[in-house]
Amino acid sequence: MARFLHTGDWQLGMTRHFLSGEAQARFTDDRFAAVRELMEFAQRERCACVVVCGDVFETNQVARATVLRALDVLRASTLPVLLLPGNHDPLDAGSVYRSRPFLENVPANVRVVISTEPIRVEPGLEVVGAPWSSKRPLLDLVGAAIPREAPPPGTVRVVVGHGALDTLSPDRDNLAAISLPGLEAALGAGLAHYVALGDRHSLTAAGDTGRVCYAGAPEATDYDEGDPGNVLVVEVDGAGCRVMPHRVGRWRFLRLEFDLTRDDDLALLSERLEALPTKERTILKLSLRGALTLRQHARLEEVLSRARELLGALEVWERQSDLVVRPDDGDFAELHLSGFAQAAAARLRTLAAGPEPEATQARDALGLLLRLARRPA
Amino acid sequence: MKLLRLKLTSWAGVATSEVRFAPEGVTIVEGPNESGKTSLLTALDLLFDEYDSCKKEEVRAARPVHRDEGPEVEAEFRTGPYLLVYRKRFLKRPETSLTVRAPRPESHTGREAHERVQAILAETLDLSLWKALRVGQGEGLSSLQVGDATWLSTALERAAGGIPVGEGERTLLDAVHNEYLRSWTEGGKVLRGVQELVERVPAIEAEVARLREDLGGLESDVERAAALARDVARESAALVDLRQLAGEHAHALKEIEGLRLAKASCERAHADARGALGRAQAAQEERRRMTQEAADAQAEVARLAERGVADAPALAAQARALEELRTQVAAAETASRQAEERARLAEGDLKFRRAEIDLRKFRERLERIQSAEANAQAAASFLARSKVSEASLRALREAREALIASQAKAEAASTTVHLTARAPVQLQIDGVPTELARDETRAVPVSGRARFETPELVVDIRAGESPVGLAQDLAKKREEFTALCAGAGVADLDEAAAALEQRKEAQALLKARDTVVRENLDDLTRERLEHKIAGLAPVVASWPGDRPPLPTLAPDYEAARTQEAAAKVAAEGLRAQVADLRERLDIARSAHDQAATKRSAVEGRLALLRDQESGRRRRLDEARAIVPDSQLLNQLATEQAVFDQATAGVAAAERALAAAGADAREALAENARAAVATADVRLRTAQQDQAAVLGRLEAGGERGLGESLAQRGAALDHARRVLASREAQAAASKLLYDTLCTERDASRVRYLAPYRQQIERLGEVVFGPSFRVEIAEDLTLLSRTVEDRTVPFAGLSGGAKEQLGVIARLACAALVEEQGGVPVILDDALGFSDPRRLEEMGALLAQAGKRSQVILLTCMPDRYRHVGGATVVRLGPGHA
Repeated sequence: MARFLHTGDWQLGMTRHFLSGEAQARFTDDRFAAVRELMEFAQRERCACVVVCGDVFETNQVARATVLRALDVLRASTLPVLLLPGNHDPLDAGSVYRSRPFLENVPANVRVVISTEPIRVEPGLEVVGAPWSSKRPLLDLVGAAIPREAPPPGTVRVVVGHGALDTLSPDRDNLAAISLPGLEAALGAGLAHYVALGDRHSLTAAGDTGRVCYAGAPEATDYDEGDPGNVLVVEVDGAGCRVMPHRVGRWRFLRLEFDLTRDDDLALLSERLEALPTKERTILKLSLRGALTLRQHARLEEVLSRARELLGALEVWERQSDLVVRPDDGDFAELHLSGFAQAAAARLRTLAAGPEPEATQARDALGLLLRLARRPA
Repeated sequence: MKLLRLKLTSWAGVATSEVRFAPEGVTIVEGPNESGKTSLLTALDLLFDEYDSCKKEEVRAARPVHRDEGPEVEAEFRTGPYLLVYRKRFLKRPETSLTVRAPRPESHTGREAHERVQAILAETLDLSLWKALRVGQGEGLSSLQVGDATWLSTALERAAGGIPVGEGERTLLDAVHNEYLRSWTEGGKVLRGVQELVERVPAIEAEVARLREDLGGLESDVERAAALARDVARESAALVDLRQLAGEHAHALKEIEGLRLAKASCERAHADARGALGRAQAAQEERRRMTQEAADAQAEVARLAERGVADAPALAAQARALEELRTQVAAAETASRQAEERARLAEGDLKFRRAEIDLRKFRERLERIQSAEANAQAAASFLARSKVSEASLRALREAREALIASQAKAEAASTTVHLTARAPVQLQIDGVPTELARDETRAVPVSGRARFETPELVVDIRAGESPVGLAQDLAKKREEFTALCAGAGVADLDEAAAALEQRKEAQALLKARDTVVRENLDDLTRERLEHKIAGLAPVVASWPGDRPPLPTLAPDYEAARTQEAAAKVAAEGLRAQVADLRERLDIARSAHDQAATKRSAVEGRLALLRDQESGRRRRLDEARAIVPDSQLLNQLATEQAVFDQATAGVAAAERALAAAGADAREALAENARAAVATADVRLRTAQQDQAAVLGRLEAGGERGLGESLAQRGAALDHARRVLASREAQAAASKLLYDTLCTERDASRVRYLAPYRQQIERLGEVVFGPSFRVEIAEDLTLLSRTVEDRTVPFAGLSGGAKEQLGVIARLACAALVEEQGGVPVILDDALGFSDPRRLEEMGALLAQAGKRSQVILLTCMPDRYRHVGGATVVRLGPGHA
């Protein structure tokens, strides 16, 4: 029985454009923290090794500091760590694994899988990797990597790969798609006992064998990833396979939709945002629909402004939003505007009902008028 | 607001004073100075504005005299829906109380009362307008042109649309303006901060583009590295194959080398045979040449000998002709010398005759000169002696004329004695012997005394006194004339005239001498003339004796010239004849010399050729004695046979090499070597390229370009969002500010018309129906027009300014009356108005009072006598 930790898609050095500088720093730090935690977890779980199924780095051209920080975290553990080059960090001429910062600082427990040669991790556990040597392979690397001979008796063979399974890949012409039937055939023939895959960021078990799995990214990277934030402890031998997920991720990407027309709708939005847990590690994308008065729109801006300060990031999904601002009489009634101020407001309201882009400018101007006129003495 | 009642207690010098104001119309508060009129206004301000605890100067000034009490003020007024009684006591036991009687009863004290009044006033009264429509004593309405126009503008602008703000707060426009200034300058330019945001985006874009380009380059290098790795492998394999092929070709070439050595041996034998054959041919050629040269020399000797015999008779004939010519030349030269001698003699004769003529002419010129000089010398001598001049002659003439005149006078005045001789008689008249012929009569004037003596008779005649004076004058004139004659060296006037003529002649001679000398000397000097004469004289004297007697000397110059020309012609003809003969002699001599020289040369060359011919013959004989001609011919044939055999050997060796295909094999081997070298270069090039690319990749990889690009991309996205937001804010603030300003300006323009109409309607009473005013956008009064005469406000009189100030206030009060109204309070106004204007202003105030509350304070009751229907309140010293 072999016991190891299956993970992948760390994508260290990832930058998200919607994050502010401070939030980006937190996001970056938490990715290293997740790796640190999974290493400690593997140690606690008495895993024989940690296999990282590709995309350890966001790109081959990551910052030197990112490489050094990653290796520093791995150095803290005594467990063997096998790093598989994936499509983000292929083992090409410019590979990060061939860079001076990596080669000069890689600790002894870390090994890059540079070929399909079987790697003996410990007696009874053999790892066969299918590293990416370019960003555009033209064949099923995993299928090609599986040896034609079964491992010696008593030895568990774990195949480590990266890429989309043909059953999950939306691109049928993808020559590099991994054949799930091929994997299952190999598993059935005893040529391998478990196929640890990376590339898919959501925890996914493929096929019916229970021996082909994506561990998913240990920390979320985008919306709609399904179930990110996990690592897998795998116990496997010829007789059986047991995959145990463990959560390490702290960030989440969230989409919410709201219809906004009445004051109550704004109140509901405010309450929902206030109720979100771990706001500082939540990245929220809002779709807003409806029609608001200037006053209501000002209120919406207040709510969103507060949320922006609290959340990791807040985006209003313009493409999926349809929010109209319509100044009405009530916006200005309580201000008791008179004379030229009243005339100015009326003129701006006319502009706001006209064609863009003047209409947007006029609505902004009216909002400003509202804010300044309502400002307490 | 309507002020209904105001009561002062213990206020400065006033013990108690209560004034009730008419809620509608005009209230005139009259009173002498220090009756407390101005204190009413001061107290009203303190009541509204200050807490009862106030210790300001104005409050302390209100402390009552000689009473230990606090000054107290109480006002009753209506504002909006409120009717209030408001009282304050300051300084001593300060106290505030408020009783609101309507709309519902309220009662407040202390600070609460103060705050409540402030709230009610803020709610119901435009406080700034309340202040603006009041003019205190001494503030002067004439200052209205600046200050009051500003308050009017402020008050009316607020009435036109200002928003209610607390004291010290900015108006809405100010707030919008401040917001505007967060993005724009006053001049409408975008602020530096916003501009920096605008500039920042393209800067980051450029940075991102640069990073993207670098990353693209890096990724290209990755692909290039893979391609180069394939190239290196391919070139390495090709190099191995090419090296093996080159080895095979090298082995084949060794077989070819044996055949090539055999061919080289044949070629060496062939070269030796060619050398021997050449030498035999050269010996044969040398023998032929020597034989030919000996024969040629012999033929040449024979040809020259024959030619010498043929030339001898012609040479002898040339010698004879030459001698004959020499004889002719000698005879001609003798004749020529004789002719030359005759020509020289004729030339001497000609010169002699010419000198003879010249000598004569020169001597004549010299004689004329000498004659002129002698004349001149005599003339000069005369001039030196002569004392008569034009002046002295003139003086003599004048003296003579004076003498004659004197004589005439004397004669006229004297006694004249007429002597008539009857027979010739001799007598003495005054001692002068005188002879009279028969019948001769002589008149003798007697001026003094006269004596006529004959031997027989002496007659003394004495003249009277008058003729004596005349006689003395005559004597004096005569003396003067005589003295002048003596001075001129003449006896009388005729002599003097003759002497003067002589003098002129002498002067003419002197002048003529220069002319004669100049003309006769001509181009010569005197010395040159004499020198020429001295030179010619011996020649002329000696030539006839010096020349030979024959031929005879030509008789004159013309003959001499004819003879000289003939002699020269004869000499010239003989000279030409001599020259012609000499030329012919030279030609003949030259021809003879050339023939003689040629003959000598032929003889010399004949001797030389005979030597050469004998030498060549001797050497040929010696050579033949050593190797006979036949032996040379045999040797040549032998060497030719050997050479032909060697040539055949070389051809056979070349055929053998060609048959072995040596050239093709060698070309293949050479090409194989070159191909190895080419492949080696290509491999090394690929390896160098690979090393370079890997070096770039290593350097580029350390830059972390991918992560940098993502980070800067995020920064760009952020900057764009910030910029869009900031630009939207800026645009909104500009649009709002511009719109507010546009509407404010428009409202001012709209406001001008009713304001101007209100002023003109009120002012018509004072300035007549033609009264018009011009008002600026800020509501400042610009000018007044009456009867088509427009005067700028600043140019108006103090009285007119003051009247317009009052009218403007009343117009403003009328305009805001519907909003609750504001009292117009004038303290001691219209001090500059004349009686007629006071009457008209009275009517105007009465009219204005129908709509607004007007309160007039004055110490001059007559000033407002014409305000009809006014409520009059009198304050006096006894009022206190």
